[in-house]
Amino acid sequence: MNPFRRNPSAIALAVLAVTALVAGVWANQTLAGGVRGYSETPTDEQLAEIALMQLLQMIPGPTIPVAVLAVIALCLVGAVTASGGRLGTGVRERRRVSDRLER
Amino acid sequence: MSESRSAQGIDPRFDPRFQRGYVPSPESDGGAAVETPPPKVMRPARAAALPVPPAPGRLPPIAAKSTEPVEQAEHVATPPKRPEVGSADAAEPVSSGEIAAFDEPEPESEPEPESEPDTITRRWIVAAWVVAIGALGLGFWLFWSVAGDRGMYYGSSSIDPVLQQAAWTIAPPLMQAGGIGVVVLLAWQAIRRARRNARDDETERP
Repeated sequence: MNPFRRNPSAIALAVLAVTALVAGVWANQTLAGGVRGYSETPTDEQLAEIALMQLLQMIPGPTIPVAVLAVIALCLVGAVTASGGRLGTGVRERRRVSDRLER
Repeated sequence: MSESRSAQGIDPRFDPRFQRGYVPSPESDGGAAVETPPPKVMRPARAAALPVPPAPGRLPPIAAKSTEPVEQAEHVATPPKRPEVGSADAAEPVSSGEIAAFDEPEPESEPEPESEPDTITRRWIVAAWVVAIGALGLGFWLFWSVAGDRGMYYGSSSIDPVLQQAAWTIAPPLMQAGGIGVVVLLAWQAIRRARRNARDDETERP
């Protein structure tokens, strides 16, 4: 059973997981390269670089949990697909189905 | 006594006061009311819900008042109309077809209104999407508005200090919550879609 078959949300989840993971890792690597300090008054380009570095510092915090959660969600989607849609079906849904069968 | 009544066309199984052709007599009126058990009115559909009728020895107060037969007759429910009331028919239990005749007609099973709950659910989902993407966008805007301010690096920032503090403290959790919300919503939609696909596969199977 392929969880991505006819399921665009699952594809979006996978894309989100990969994107968040790549963004987090890239931001971390860029920051690890070192942030330059300026002894003189920074130019506009240098100010933009500083702003970008500050933005990069904020990226790994939110993106890594999002990536992990997206992978967990994909596992859940795969489990539901493998169970034929029965996994996690609530009591109300089961009762509705049994009522339909009794009729 | 009973012979004369049968000659009048009165059925001895039922209270003569409520039958056509009954002429009340002063000497027999009270005795007939006391001795004759109350007529059994068949209400099969509601029989279980009604209280148990009194025993033949204990009469209800309505039977003791025999001076107003016509008014009491209005309170007695009419027995079910049968094509022919014979002695053999009276002893037979009421068939299920006759019981069904007294049952209230069941309302036709209406199709389940699926469109309205789906619409309401969709509204809530859209609201959740708006909140998640709004948190993501607000967090990014907060952070970028402060990080992009040049005056902050010179010590002469024109941005409100409260906004600056919010950018460093609130923006990252906002973006994280928005991202997690997007993941949860996507997962929920993916699970629904997987269930729908499985249902469709089952119906398509011969």
